[in-house]
Amino acid sequence: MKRILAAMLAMVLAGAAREARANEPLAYMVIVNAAVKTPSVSKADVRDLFAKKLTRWPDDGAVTPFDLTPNAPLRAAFSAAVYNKSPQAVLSEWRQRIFTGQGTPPREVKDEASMIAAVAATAGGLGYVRVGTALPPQVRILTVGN
Amino acid sequence: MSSRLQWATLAGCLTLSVTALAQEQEGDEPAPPPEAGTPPPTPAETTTGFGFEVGPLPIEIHGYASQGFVISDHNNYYASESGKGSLRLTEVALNATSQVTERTRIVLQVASVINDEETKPGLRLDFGFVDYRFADAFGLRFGRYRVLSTLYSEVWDTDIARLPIFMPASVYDPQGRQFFLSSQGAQAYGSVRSREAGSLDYAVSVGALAPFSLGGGDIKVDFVSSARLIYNTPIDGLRIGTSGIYANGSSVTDLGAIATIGLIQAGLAPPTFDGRLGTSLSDLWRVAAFAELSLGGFTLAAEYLRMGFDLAAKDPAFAALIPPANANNEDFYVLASYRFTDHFTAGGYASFHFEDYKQRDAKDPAMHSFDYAATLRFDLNAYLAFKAELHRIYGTARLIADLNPGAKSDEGWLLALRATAAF
Repeated sequence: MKRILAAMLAMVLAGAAREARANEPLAYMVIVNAAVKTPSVSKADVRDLFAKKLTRWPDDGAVTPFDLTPNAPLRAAFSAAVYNKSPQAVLSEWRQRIFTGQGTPPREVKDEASMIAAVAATAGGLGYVRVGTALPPQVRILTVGN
Repeated sequence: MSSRLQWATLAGCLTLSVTALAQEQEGDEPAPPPEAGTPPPTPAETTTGFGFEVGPLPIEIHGYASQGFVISDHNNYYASESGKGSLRLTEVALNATSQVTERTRIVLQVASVINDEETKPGLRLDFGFVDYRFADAFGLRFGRYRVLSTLYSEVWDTDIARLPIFMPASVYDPQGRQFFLSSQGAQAYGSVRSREAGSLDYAVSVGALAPFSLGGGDIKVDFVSSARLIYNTPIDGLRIGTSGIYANGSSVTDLGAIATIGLIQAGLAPPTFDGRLGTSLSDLWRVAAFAELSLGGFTLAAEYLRMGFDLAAKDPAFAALIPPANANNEDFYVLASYRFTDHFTAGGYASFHFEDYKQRDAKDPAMHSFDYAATLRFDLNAYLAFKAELHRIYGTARLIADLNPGAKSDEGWLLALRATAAF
């Protein structure tokens, strides 16, 4: 009987741990094309770079940000951390800018592999992927400070 | 023609929603592990809009279609037959943007609007301009552009990007859209940033309005200048700002043969009078101050606006017909909204308009207009939104005379429904 209870308890705890892991926000890292000289940016800079309010790197190259599709779990985590908003709310802000002629959103890529490929192939490319993702030599991590 | 466009709009909304739902299902799939060697994305790889290339030029296309329904108990609000229920609230727009060079963009937006506020429905050029961005702190636009004034001028015409079906009519007077929405000339803009102190967004423009018709008159505004400053404070989600517009113009109203002959026979007009009565609109100024706090799904916004202008007959001989007059409007509103989930947002506002800020206590309902509104928005997905909105309106100052030729009630209810699809 004790064994059965212990097994049930273990199953409940394992389930709870799984659920907690599923609810944990995904950790992201910001990546850039390796040719970009800027070593680090602030969190506010990241927001403005992806919002295309900052359009040039300090070394004067153009910034080309890429985004994941609105339903990608990592985009939700990124939006929450950087904008404190859901991807839908960010999309709504972009629509304000699109339909007043002030700008268009970053190009979207279907997954993180495409994100890495896009950043690698684009001068001034900027994106984000999960922490720990292996990167090719054409792409590096951009340090984000406060 | 208009009913065909309305049906097409509804069909377009449904098609978009079905397509979008299918895409949304695909988007729920977990991302595969990264693979090297994937080619860079083309402009077409985006869920908002689609792109293609014409020679070396990348072109991005966006658009929206919106169909509304209004019904009211007494007065006609926003439509000439809202008392019976009206579908004359249709908007369709297509936007094309091309990033010609790193610093140069060309933008064009055409729209078709069917409603009873605009006297000349049909395809119109919303804006079209060349934008050259020297730096993040300074860019220039030439052509026909959106006038950036007040907090929400960007969403005044874009239903999908805002919560209310009808923006607070105090600051966003439907009759003022043609005055304050688009202008042609030059616009300077930019954003000045400080790591510690936040950022300052500015836009300054000088130009003229394209001639338009309003209230039976042909209106020409030869000079209009505007400026807006928005300070994005270091406090997360808090922005404050101010804006101003200054304009001079004139209008010509064709009185028609019978009225013209009557005026001549009564000795109020010279025998040479051709029936076209000119009015000068001078020193129109419109100054606003505003603030918005946006935290997570919660938004609280408020705007305060004052507007004045002088009206007089162009020809002093008609001073008896058009005695000199001036306006001293005062407007303000408070808006709050909360996004409960990605699908549901609710909110409301209280909007106040006074014809003359010196006579706020006037009992005459023609001297004020108060509007209390509550809105529920349901976003089916990133492309399609449905809204329901209930208004309780007091006063007749913001009633559109052309839509209410008979007696006006001092108060009324309005229910509005709207579906908007955008890509």
